[in-house]
Formats: sequence, C-alpha cells, structure tokens
Amino acid sequence: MTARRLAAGGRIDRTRSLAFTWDGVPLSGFAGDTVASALLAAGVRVVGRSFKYHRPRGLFGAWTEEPNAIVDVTLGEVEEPDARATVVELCAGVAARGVNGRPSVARDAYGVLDLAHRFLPAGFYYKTFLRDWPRREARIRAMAGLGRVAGTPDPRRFASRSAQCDVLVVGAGPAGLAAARAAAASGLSVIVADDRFIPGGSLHWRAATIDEQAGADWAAATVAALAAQGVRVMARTTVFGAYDHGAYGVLERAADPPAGWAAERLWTVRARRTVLAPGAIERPLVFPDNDRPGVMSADAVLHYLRVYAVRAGESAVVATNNDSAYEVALALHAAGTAVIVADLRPALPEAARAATAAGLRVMANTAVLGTIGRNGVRLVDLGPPDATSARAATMRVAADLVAVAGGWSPTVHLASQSGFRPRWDAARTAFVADTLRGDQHFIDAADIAGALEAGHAAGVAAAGALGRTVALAAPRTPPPAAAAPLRALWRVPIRGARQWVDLQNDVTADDIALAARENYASVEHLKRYTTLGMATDQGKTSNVNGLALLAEATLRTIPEVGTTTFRPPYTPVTLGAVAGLRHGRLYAPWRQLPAHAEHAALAAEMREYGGWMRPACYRRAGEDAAAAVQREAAAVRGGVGLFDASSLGKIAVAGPDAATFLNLMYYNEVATLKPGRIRYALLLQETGVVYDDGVVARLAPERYLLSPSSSHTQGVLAMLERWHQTEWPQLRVAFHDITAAWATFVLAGPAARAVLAPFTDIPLADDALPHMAVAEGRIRGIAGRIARVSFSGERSYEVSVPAGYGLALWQALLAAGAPHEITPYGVETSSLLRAEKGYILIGTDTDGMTLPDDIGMAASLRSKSVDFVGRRSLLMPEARRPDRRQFVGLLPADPATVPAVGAHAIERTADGGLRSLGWVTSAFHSPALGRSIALGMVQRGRALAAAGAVVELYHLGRITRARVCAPVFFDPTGERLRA
Amino acid sequence: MPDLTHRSPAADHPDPIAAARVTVRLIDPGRLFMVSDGRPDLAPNERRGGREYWLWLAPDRALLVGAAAPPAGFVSEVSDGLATFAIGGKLAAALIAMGCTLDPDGAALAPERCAQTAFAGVRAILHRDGGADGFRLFAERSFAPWLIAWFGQAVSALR
Repeated sequence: MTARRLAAGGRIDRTRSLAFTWDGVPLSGFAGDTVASALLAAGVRVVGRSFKYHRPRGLFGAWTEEPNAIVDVTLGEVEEPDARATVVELCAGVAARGVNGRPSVARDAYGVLDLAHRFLPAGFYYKTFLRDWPRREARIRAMAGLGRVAGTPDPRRFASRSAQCDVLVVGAGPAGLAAARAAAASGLSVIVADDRFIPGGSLHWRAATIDEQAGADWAAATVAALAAQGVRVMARTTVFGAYDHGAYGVLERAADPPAGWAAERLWTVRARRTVLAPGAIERPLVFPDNDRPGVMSADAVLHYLRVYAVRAGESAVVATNNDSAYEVALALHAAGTAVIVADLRPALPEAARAATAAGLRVMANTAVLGTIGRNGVRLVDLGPPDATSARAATMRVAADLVAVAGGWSPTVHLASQSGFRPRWDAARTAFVADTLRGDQHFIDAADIAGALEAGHAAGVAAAGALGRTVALAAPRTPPPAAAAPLRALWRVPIRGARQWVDLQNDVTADDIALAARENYASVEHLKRYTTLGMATDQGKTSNVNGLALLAEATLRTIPEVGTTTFRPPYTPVTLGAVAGLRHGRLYAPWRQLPAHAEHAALAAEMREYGGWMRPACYRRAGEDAAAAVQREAAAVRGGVGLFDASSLGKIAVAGPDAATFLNLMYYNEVATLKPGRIRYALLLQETGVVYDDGVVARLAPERYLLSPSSSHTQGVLAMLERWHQTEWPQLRVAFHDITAAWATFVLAGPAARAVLAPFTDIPLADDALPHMAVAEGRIRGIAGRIARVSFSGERSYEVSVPAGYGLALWQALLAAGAPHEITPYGVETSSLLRAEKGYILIGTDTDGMTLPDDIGMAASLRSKSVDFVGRRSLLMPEARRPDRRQFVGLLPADPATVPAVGAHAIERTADGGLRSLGWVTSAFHSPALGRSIALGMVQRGRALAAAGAVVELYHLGRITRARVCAPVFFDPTGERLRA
Repeated sequence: MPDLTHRSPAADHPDPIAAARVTVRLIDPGRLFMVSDGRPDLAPNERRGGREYWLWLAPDRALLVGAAAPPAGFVSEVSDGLATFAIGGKLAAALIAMGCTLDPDGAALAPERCAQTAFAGVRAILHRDGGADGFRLFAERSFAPWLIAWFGQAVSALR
C-alpha cells in the first residue's frame, strides 16, 4: 500500500496484488487497476516524453482522452506498441515502458531538445529542410515517431464478426443505458457497446441517485435487466468508426479470449438506428507550463480517486472555469488532500458554498499563472486571469497536483465521421452534434439528470422511428442545482511563456498564433501546419482550445473558424484485428484442382494463378524450375505431355437464342459455327479493348460451351448476364458456370492420340475429330467430352470428366502414357509452348489498350455482318491510328540472352534522347529453336516485321538488339496440329 | 482397364471439424442440377421443397438439390462442382456471423429462404437446415480445402 492508495473504496480487488514492471523497475498494483492507476498509486510522475521537445509528461487523463501516457506493453510473447496506459488493464507480469525517452522517460538524453525550443517553432521542418530534406530525412525519421514495433510475429490469432441490430447504443453511461432500456422495452433488438471495463460510465465516479439507488447500482441493475431481455451489452468495446448505411466499426477487447486468440475482435455492426451517447471529455485550461506532470484533468483526478482509490496528489490546486470541479475538490479534501480552489469566474458560484463550508479555501477571479518543478509540479503561482506578466502573481502555493476543469466537449467524433459538421453552442461553449444523419440520435447533456432524460427520449425516438412504442417511464433522479455559467478563458494573456494546447503533438498557444500570422488561417491548414489534433489523439482534449485560439488570433468567432473533420478510428485499432483471420495460410482464398493430391505427389512446384493453386512445373531431383520447363516443353514436342487444365473456365450456354446472343457478344462470328465444332474468339469491352479470349464450342444447335481464361470466368459470366438482362432480355438464353464440376486434362504431343485412344468410345480419327472439333461420349465408361484444341501447337486433346473422376483419370492417363514417356507439364511450360507458337496470353501480352487489330485479328471487323459489343469503338479514329502498337515477335541478336519482360523497344530522338516504341511482353529460351525468343507490342510493329527491322531494347540502362518478326517462331503453317 | 474411382469432398474429408457446441461436416446432399427454362416459378432467394428442394439463384436459374434424375429444361449437372457443408450446434449462428455479413437470425436466412453471399471470401449459397441451429452451405468444390482450413481456425475462436 502506498501513501497515494486509499485504504478502502474503489473498484479494485485488494486481495489480488499484481506485480508488473515500469521501465524495468518492479512495481505492484491490484486487480482492477489500469497501468496508469497503478503508476499513479506508486508515485510515478513522468510517464512519457513529449513528441517534439521531449518534455517530461505525466498522466493528464484517466481514459482514452489521455494524450501523454503512451507506453509499449509486453506480456509474454505479445508486444503492443503505443498503448495508452490509462486503458491498459493491469495484469500480472506486464512490462510497460514509456516511449520517446532514451534510456528512459525519466532520464531522457533528448530532453536537451527542449532548451532549443525557440528554434523549433511550428513549421520548423518545412522551413529548415526545404532544400536538403532528402539528406536529413534518415536522421530525422530515426528520432521521430513514438514506440517500438516488435520485430517478431504476433503469436495470437484475431477473429472478426458481423452483427445486426435494430438499435445500436454507443456508450453505456447514464444516457446510453436509459436509451437502451427504452429501446429494448419496445421489443427491438438492441446492442449496447461501451469501451470501459464495466458499463455505467461516469456513474462510477460522479455521485448520482437514480430510481432511489446509487448510480453505480442502478447501472448494474439496468445492465442485468437488459441482458435478461436479450440485449447484447458489450463492455470493453469501442465503436471506433461510423460508416455508410448504418455500419459501424466496433473493436471488442474480451476479458477472457479462447486460448490462442487475441483479446481484440473486430465487429462490423449494422444498425437500423443508432443512439450516440459517448459522453463528454473535459478540456484542459491553458496557462504557462500547464504540461508539467501533476497537471491533470479534474474529472480524471476524481476517476482515479473513486474507481481506483488513488489520490493523485498530497496538496492540490483545483483550477476551474465551471461548477463541475467542486465535487472533485470536496472528494480530494475528504480523502485527505489539502485543496485550494482557483475559480476563474469573477464571483463565487452557488456550487462553491459546500466547499467553503467544508473549510476549503476557494478564490474567485483567480487563474493559474504558472507552475514550477523540474519533473513535476512543486509550486503553483496564482493571480488574476487578466495578468499579462508572471510577476502579477499574487500567491505562490506548494502543490503537487493541479486539477484543471476547463469545461466539457461532447464527444462528437462519430457524428462528425458520419459527415456532419458539429455546431458551436455558445451557451455550452462546446461543439455539439445536432445535425445528424437520419438514422442517428445524439445525446448531449450537461448533467446526469439531463443525460437520463435525453437518453430515454432518444431510445423512445429510435423505437418510434421503427414503428414501436415504449411503455416505460424515464429513470428518475433528483433535479440538479442550477449551474452557474462557465467562463471561457482560452489562454492567460501572459506572453513569452509556453502555454500548451495539444499535449500529444506539442502545440502551444504561440504556435497557433504564429500559424495565424503566417496566414494559415483555415482550420484545416492550421491542423496540418502545427499538427494540432492529429494522430492517435484526434484532438480529444485540444480541439476546442485550439480553435478558440485560432479564432482569437484571426479576429473571428469560433463558428466562423469551424472545426476539422474527426476521422476514424476514434482510438487506435490493432492491425491484427483489422486483418482478422486473413494472414498466413488464410491470407486470401485459394482453389485446388481435382487432381491436386497427384500434383503434390509428383512434387509439382505449386504457384497461385488467378486464385488457383496450379503446378508451375514438375521439378525433378537436382533440377531448377527453368530446367524443368525446358525439359517438359521438349517432351511435349517430342512425345506426349499431360497438363491439368481444370481451372479453365466452362460456361454452358443454352436456349433457342443462344447463337444470336453469343454472336452479339463475341467479336468473331460464332452463329455459323457447326455443331461439334470449335472456334477461337475474342470478347471485347464496349471500348473495343480485348477483355478475354477463349474457345467457343457448339455442342448442339442450341447449346454452346465457352472456355474463358481461368481468371476471367466470373467476369465473363457477369458480362453475359449484364448484357442479357439489360440489353437483350427478350432473347431466350441462359448461362451456367460449370467450371468446378469438371476436371479437364490436356494430352499434347505427337503421341497424344495413341495414349488417349484406349480410353474412349469417341472416334479419334482425324476426319471424325479434326482440329477444332468437339465430341461427347464415354471416357472409361464415364460420360465426358473430348475437344481437339491446342495451346501448344501440337496435336492436342482436352479430355473432360466430372470433377470427382479427375484424380483417377489423371492417374490412369499417366499410367497409360508410360510407354510413351508421358511427361506432366505445368503452367510455365504451357506458357513457353504457346509463346513459340505466338499465341497471345490475355493480360500478359495485352493490356487495357489492346484492340483486336493490334494483335493481328482485324478480319472479323471487316467480315462480320451483325453488330457486336465493342464494334463502334473499333471504328473511331483512335482505333485506326497507323502508329498503334502491334503484336510482334522479337529475335534477340544474342540467341543466348533472354530479354527482360518489360524491356522497351526504343528509337533515338533528334535531341539524342530515347523514345519508347513499345515493350517486351513475353520472353523465353525456346528449346524447339535452341535460342531466345520474345513477344512484344511495338509501334507499327507489322511494318517493322515485314521489313525485318532491328530495334534496340532498353532495360535498366542496358541496350541490346533484336530483329522484329512475325509473332510465330515454330511450325508457322500449323502442320503439327493436324499431323 | 479398371473403372475410374469417384471421389467426393465428403468422402475425402470424413472427419467433422468440431469445437464445443459447433460441428462442421462435409456431406453428400445427393445429385445437384443447375436449371434454367424449366424450373418452378420461384421468388427471389426462395427455397422450396422437402428432401428434394429448389434454391433460387438468379432470374431463370435455380439449383435443384437431391433429385434422383435431371428435371426438364436447360440442365447442367453440378453434383461434382459443389462441396456441401452442414453446420450445426448452438454456436453455428456465431460461426456464420464470422464468415459473412448476413444476419443468421434475419430474414435472409429464414427457413424458406436461401442466400448467396461471400463466405470466408468465397462465393457460397447458404440456407437454414435441420432445425434452429443448423445451416447448409454450398461452395465450389475447388474451394473446399480452403473452407476446411478456414473452418478449422474459426471454430476455435467461438465463444
């Protein structure tokens, strides 16, 4: 027990002592403490160093508003950087460290920076490093920033969850509980979220009597009653962001998460109505050296006293501009602290009477003019609020605590995030949120009676908006005494001394005046220039004081200045919680082929292609991937290869108007296709750009099967649906994506037919099943399909069976092909084989500019008699520019060097510069040609190819040469396809 | 030559994924047909039928579950295309709320309805099944291993 800890009272469990360390020093607290309350109880004064000047800072607040006590927390393997000590629940074994101090915040070597503060005004960096920022950046960044990120992975997993409700109540103080009680009584589903450890809010430290019970007891009873009605009351849960359509970002910190799971869980809550009852934050008073440890929010002082049974000081000055501090003064006095009250107002209010009666010294028209003390307040100077010099002090008192009460700022963050500017209420001297999104109710109350009344009304209104009535009276509380008005004094008019406005970002009143003099008169500019209200703090304590000072400096009113936009999150959200399960193996969905187990058994190198895990190649012992690709490609050309093409899209199209519809969609003519035949076709966007290529098979007069590329299947299906539903709904046609229902394997190579023949009753003779034909029949007795198409330039059969037979068919084909030395080959090998043939790969060789003519497919535009998607764009001047990039082959001058994909084909300009003509899109070493080959898109490429021109290829400063040729390197006449 | 062996996701993964008060298992729902131009006149997102039942998928597209033979119309058999998960237990609804943004107790998952949603990042068809605590989820077969991995982690997070 320390002198600061009271012998009784508070919500701590004195039977459970918890050991922890602060900057390596062993300390102890109790269950129910926060790290901050335990530090305060232990008499630790310096808990942080300020961001810019490295000034020693102490606790100011008791909860999320805390600007100073940023700490790195370690518990076991888990490290949390930049936590607020005021919200970190104490548990045994926690190691907490202050940030921004070396070696510690108590003895910080960078503290000398503060001596140079005159040379470090607002905008210092912009002004000083205007010219040589790049040279200085590394050193400045090393000094800047708070906290230390652990270099090790977080061992915990993070869950996320969604929820829906009729009414979401944000805040479980008196207002929120009154609202939830009313809404729940109407029978609606209600979620109440509150960031503190237990619901009840200020009822735990502000005296109240509600329905004849103590405030905290009423809160507990109300929560129990709500839970009994099925209301989800979530403690330790912050509603940190308001988003569109009634969605809210909600961060829960569970008291007892399942093993291996982090306490944080991210919820997305969608609510039909929302009651915002977040309460209010006490503002500091601005006076010289008001950042010294020991200067604390009066409300926080009361919070520490009544919730954690900690006295924040032995002797205190309570400095106030309103009535709310008198309860604090009396409570401190009762706890044994010597108290002097300095009230800014010219005459003592009615509220002072009880304090005077208790024997406290209460002074009207009195301000704090300064504080003295090296690492914390020791002496306090008091004097008239209009003093222009520190010498005007009339009194110097010994005190280790200055409890400041500068008025209340309702927490308008969520309302502001929803898109509405808070309105300045001069009577309350506060921004309030009374213009709201239609589904929100904001509760703003000056006292507990007002909170209960407004909360109940909001609950009734939310229920009413959803067509319900509430048969329940509002909670009753004795009427409060009339409060005397607050006296706004935004700073003491003493020049020279630093008076702090934003403690987290080290912004002083003079900084704001300087910004105004330099014409940063807009509140948004002020924020960026001085950093006022930025970062994790989001101006919780500084916003109103800063705006008021800007208003004074620019001779405007506060409403004229306005406020900045508060941004989510209200308090920091752990990145792990945002990621949820999406990390490691579950980072993004992956799909497996039906024969996946067989590929794994063959030690295939699996890579992700458009979401599918597919074999890139099958490496043998001692072989690298490049060598495997060369071997596999040669095996296909020399014998037979087996390729898993199951990921290739399969969209069944049927209906009496199927031919008409597809002919409107495809660039190529597909209506004249005979049943049993296949055609290669392009699908264009409205812009004429090539979106996808693939084969169209006509299985029957009214039945087609499309094969879009693996990663475009969903896009093609969506495109077909969209055009059908919006443009040609009268056409009778329907689409089924059956991709996953089938396994498809490609047998390619001269020996392909010999391997396949024993498997099927489908005649494979070339006159029965020629190149670009398809037939349905039996594969080993299973109903399947064989399509004779080729992406390799070899005789090639695509064999399809229902996916359940895929694994067995793969095994059977491999076994049957063994006499022919059948070789499984992967996607990389397939890509090489097609490059030798000059077949384009959409998205690799083409991009978002490529038109059909650019890849040598102009014929359909000339010959096709019906309209099709994209046709109009192909008739525009841009599509007919003679200098468009065209698809060509490139033969490097050095046959042993494979040019880099992305290397630019260049020409030299008159002034000696380089100009890009296009670029390399694919490049390989070709085993069939025994040399390097490349494909590319080059301006006027076809003319260059016809002339046999040589171009220079530029890549990362190196220049090589290549001859432009037609984009086909191997078997240009296609004899092997048919042979 | 021997016949080809048929494999189903349910046969490949016979063991349920289970934690306290929740069980996920791959099941065999019988034959599945995607049907257009011949289906009953279903309302959007309607589920109709008993052991053999229809799920509305899109205008003029439905899924017929558990039928003995293909119905009339434009029909594609997708028995091998979908993996079917049965999710049950007191925490089944909480598991659904981890995987998607639908309200497990809301109108979208009422007994006579079905929903198409992204579940664990994957396109899925979802409906209530087997009483108050049960759900059935269809996803493309290729995503079954992903969903098994996802469920394996997710069930241990439930509370």
